[in-house]
Amino acid sequence: MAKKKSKRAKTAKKKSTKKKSSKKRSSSKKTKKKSKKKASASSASAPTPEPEDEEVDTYIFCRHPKSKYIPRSVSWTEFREGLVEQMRFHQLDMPDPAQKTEIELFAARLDKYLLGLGYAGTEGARYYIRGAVGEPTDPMQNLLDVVAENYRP
Amino acid sequence: MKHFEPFAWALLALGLLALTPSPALAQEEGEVEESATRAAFAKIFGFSRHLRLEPRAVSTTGGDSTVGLDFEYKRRFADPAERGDVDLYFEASGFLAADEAVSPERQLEGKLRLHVIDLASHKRADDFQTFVDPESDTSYRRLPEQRQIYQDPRLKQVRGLYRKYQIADGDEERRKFFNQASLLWWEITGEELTEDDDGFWPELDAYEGDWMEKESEFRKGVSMPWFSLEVNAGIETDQEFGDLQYVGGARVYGKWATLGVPVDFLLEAIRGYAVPRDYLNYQGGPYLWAGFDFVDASENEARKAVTGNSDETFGRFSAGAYYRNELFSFGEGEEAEPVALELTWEFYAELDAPSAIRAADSDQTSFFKAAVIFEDGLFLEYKDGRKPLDLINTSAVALGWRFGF
Repeated sequence: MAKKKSKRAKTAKKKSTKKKSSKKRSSSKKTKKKSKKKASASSASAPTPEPEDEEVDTYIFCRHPKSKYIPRSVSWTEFREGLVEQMRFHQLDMPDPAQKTEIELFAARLDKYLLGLGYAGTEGARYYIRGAVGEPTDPMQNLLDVVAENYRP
Repeated sequence: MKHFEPFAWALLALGLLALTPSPALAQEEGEVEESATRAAFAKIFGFSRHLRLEPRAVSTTGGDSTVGLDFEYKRRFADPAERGDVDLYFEASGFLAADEAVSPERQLEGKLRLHVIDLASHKRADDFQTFVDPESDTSYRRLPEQRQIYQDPRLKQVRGLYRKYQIADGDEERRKFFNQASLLWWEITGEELTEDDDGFWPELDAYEGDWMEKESEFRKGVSMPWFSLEVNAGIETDQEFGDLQYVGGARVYGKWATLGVPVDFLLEAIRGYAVPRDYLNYQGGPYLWAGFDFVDASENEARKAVTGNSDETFGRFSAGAYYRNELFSFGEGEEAEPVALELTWEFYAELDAPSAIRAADSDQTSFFKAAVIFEDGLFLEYKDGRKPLDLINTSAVALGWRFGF
């Protein structure tokens, strides 16, 4: 698991009761957030911080005409604030081997796409992506956190 | 009740294992207390987070009917290999019927599954440049620049503007990013860049789509197969635990779109357009799986009644397929209401089955399901055949809605 961790991801993590059961971290391995982080949420209303580039690229990939993991009409906000259930493979009544295949393919394709955009990804990135999209009731933010933590420019 | 005892112990053991948080839970500085709290909550309430329920009414062609609940429970453990291509699960699934006697699906399952993903490995050593980030001591992979989507810095700029466009606040800001990108695109390609109502830039999407087609490990001119291996161990039972079997085995599962081309063409001809309008019907398979199980049926009463308490252990071959595509569509454009066709087939064969099993026509069983699914989740389903624990072949028609909790 990548050791870099964004401030936004940490904020989201604290707000969520979701366990990141897939994440191996220790205090000795912790690193600072990415230096390219663009926004700071300072107002009382706690506006949503700007996303990492790779998070938006994840949204673009999911909606891409060659991928179609989500409906084309889904906005960035709807995607980010929604649940994993909006993914195609959770909307279908697929038998177990078929759904597992589709989740594996999703992780591999997203990984390859992000690498294709020039990001560097951790060895275990696909494992964490599969974990983040495996349960339909999990927030999509988990996937975005996993991507932010496992890919870097 | 004597049959319940081993099942209860097995279920209890697996259940405890499943509800125990992974040792690799996030334990960041300053979050230890919070993680412990979350872990405690997970033990108590975590169950529902991995539970899918699907109520349905079922009628058999024999005139019987019942209601019931499809369920599926999953628990995923930490990556044993830490390489990204191994998964370990506990899973339970099945159909709980109000009247099991008329239920077309009696089989419940609970299994531990180990997955080794992508057997036709695409991760050749020369695919990636690797480096270690000294600050975090983390190993990273990167595609060589000549294999990346954007090699021209100006194209990268266009892609950066597309990213900003997607998350921009308001039309004015979006217009600003699009205009900048449009000028750059014209300079690079000599062609016009357009945008559509859903915020896509078709020319840029097509450029990335070409890369996906050419460079992806899944499509090198033709669709490449994707296969993984599963090793599993667990139980199969009816819902009253009278017919219980211990099962261990392995199977290969995956997807190979090329095999579905004839059916794709047929459905394309029926609906009269090429690309499915509903994203749910896109890239629908076929998905395939096949494997071998070793079965201990010493507590399967229905089987023992047939075999006379002999041949309680046996080998079993299984295979299956799933395919989904768009059948037709009511209406056009935004008014379109696509209708999907979904096909599922499963086959089981007991190897070297005893004569009593063969005489009872239970050495080979198969199960077929065809469903027509409307956009709002309403489905009409036809089933025929049986799974290994079902006593008789049943044909049934079911009408219901699909939704999950």
